[in-house]
Amino acid sequence: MDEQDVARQSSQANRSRKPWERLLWLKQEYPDNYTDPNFVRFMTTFPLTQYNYDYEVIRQDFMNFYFIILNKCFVFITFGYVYDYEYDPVPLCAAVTFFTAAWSIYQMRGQVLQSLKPCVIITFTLLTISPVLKSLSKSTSSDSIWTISFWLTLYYLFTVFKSMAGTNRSRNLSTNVLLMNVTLLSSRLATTTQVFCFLLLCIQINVILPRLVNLSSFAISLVSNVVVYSYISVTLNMPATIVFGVFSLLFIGVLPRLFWYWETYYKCPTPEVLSFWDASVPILD
Amino acid sequence: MVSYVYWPEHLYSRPDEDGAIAIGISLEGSDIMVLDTVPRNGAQTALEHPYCEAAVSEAGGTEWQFGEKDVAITRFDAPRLDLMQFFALEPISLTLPEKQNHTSDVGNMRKLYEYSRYFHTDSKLRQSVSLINLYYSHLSAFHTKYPQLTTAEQQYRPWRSIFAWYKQTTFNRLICWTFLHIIVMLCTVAYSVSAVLNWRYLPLANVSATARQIDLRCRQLCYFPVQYLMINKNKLVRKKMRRFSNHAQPAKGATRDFPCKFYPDYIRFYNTIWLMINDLSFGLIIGSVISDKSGALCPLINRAVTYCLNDLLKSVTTRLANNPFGIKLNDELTRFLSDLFLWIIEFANFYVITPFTSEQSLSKLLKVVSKTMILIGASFGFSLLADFFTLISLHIYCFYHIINKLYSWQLNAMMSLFYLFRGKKRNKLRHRVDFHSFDLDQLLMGMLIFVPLVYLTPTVLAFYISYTVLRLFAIYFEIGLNYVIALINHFPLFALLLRIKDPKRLPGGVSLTTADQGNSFKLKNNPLQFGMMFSLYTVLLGQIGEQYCSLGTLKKILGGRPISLNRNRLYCVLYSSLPVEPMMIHCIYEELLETLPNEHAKHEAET
Repeated sequence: MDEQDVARQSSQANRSRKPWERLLWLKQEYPDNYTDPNFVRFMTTFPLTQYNYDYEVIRQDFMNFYFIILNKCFVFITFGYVYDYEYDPVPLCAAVTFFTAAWSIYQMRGQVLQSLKPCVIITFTLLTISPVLKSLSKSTSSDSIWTISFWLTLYYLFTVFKSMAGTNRSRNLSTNVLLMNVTLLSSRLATTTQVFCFLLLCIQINVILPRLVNLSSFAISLVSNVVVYSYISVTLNMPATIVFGVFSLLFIGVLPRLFWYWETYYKCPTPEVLSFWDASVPILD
Repeated sequence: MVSYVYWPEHLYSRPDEDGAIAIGISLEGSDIMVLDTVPRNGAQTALEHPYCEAAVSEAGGTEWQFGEKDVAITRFDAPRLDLMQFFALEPISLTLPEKQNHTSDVGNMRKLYEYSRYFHTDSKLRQSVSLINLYYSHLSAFHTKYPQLTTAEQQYRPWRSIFAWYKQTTFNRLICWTFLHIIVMLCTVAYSVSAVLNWRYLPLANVSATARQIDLRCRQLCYFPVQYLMINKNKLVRKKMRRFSNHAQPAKGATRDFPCKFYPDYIRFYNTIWLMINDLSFGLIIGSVISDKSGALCPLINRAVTYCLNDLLKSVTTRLANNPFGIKLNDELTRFLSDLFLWIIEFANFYVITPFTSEQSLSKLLKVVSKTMILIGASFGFSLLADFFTLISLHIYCFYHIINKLYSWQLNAMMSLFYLFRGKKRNKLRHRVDFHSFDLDQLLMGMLIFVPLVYLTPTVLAFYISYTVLRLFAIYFEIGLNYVIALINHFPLFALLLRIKDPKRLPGGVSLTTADQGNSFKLKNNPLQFGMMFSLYTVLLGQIGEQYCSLGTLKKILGGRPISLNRNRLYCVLYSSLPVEPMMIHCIYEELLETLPNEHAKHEAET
């Protein structure tokens, strides 16, 4: 009897009060340890939904990642082309530049002038900085450069992976890591022309073209695959190519399936309460 | 509650066989102080208010009987104000009061000090101490009032009356007037020289040690009349007080904090004069030694300067160019920097070092320095030497500033570009680093600049550290010279001598000890501690250490912030016995005129 009275009184009091808001900085007529009834209701009726992972999406993500790796391989291919085989990079560079320019004009009809500005800036910066880069790491041994380059590549793949995971923030970072790696490698080259051409090639192939064309389109992916595997087979040998091929097949074919299987059957379903009831992170100055 | 009776030491030990009365005085808020003892049989006079019978001793008795039960006798040596002895509860300060907060600027401590509770506890002691300080004045006032109780006799001093007569002559007034006007002229000249040296647009005193030394002397000269007035004003107060002292009451107001007020001024005044004379005598000694040994000194200095400022620098620069310690620096930049510095060294060597440190010019310089020392003091000679060193080490200063600018620019650029590398940007408005999506060309240009900068850091750092170390050594040498000058200029010589001669003239607080097998207390003067006299030097050394030889300095160096020798900030501590601005003489001219012996004083003396 008494308890009911108390409950009634409190409910009457509640009615007269303003509804509770989830804001810390508001002075509200509620005690500190007040728990909103909505929260309890939310928690009890929350459906522990199992996400239905679409296998197609997963496979597409893996494919995209594979193409980015292939694309990254072009840095080393170009470097080998210039540094190891000592071919003249000018014709290749001219061809790729022509292709990129034609493609970008074709894609962005009417906005040529707008895209002209970055082109001019990039070209002139490269021209200015190439002689400096040429002599920059003369006193450093090649091995240390290769090591740094290796770690930067790993870091690049990690940042790409993070940027694919959703946040757009690390896209800048991945581009920067790639550029750093390229600049570092270019400082090994012998002449200013080589440095300039190598930098231009890498920037076009790895930074500009992926923004213009769809890497996973059939033609582009075919070209990338053919170039990368033929380069590996020419530079190393056939068994190495076969090993690489097997690994990439595993990556494209088996890993997505495995991942999907694990996500579906082994991952514990967690209620994603935190989306709404999460404590907001304050921005402190 | 125990009441205290303050008893002069010389009265306490006086034997009394026929019985005696101790006559005390007690002003408002103080304990009783015994003024004199009179024979018991002769004392039938009724005593008026401030005076009272403090204690009585029976005939044949050896002990004093007090009216109250709990009485603690506190004995003291009566301080002789004419010899400038006095008691003080706080150590007297040798610096100007407005400059003291340098040393003890602790906010909470001050709050504690100013808290009323702590104020009141010693108010009685404070009153008693100022009563004790005026023991002889009160005694003579008492004798004037009750001549029948006087036992001692006034001494007649003939030279005093002669002096008083001389003071009234017109001749003396003329001399005083002339002297005053010469001083006024000198002070005006000194004021304008000081103003020129501290000109806002070209503060020479901040650049050159000699200019600073001249400025110091000028300021001291400008301050002398003020100090004289301060000392004299207090003397006037004392004179007036003596006139009133027939009735003890009015004397109280004038005496509140009388001795401690003008006394530090007195010490400072004479300290400055002593130091000037000292400076001259040092100058005579060192100057004559220098001029004597000039022939042997010249080649020595020549060799030392050539080695330190030319050969050493050259070898450091060439070594930096050739992979120092096996560290492979960037060849192009190293070659450029070392060539640049070698050119500067060559230039400095050809135009500054060689002409200034050839044996002929060195002997000329030493002649000038020794003459200066002999004529106007050692400090001027040392400042000339300091300026000479600054001049011939100018190229080290240049090196340091060139490389410091390079390094700080590079560091700054690298910081910003590192933000760009992470895809972030400094938010100036909110003072934080935010995410920002850059354009492709921005990223590319940033990276292309960032990588070379990172690669060139070791090279620039190697040069930067080498030249910073050189610059630091040059600064240390200059500081050493300036410290010697500071010692000559601001050594607390007078206070130190006073401390040795008569510690009672330099009170640093009082202490009460038990005496006479615990029957009485003894009020003693704690002389000022040596540490307090040299507190300024400790502060200065601490500041120098903080600025040039600490972890903070290392941080400053690595952060690329410039290290400079700021004379103004370094020596402001030592200017503590001088006011911030020299005083214009015309502000105190009228007051100075008043101190001349005039008709009014003559008239007064006659009456």
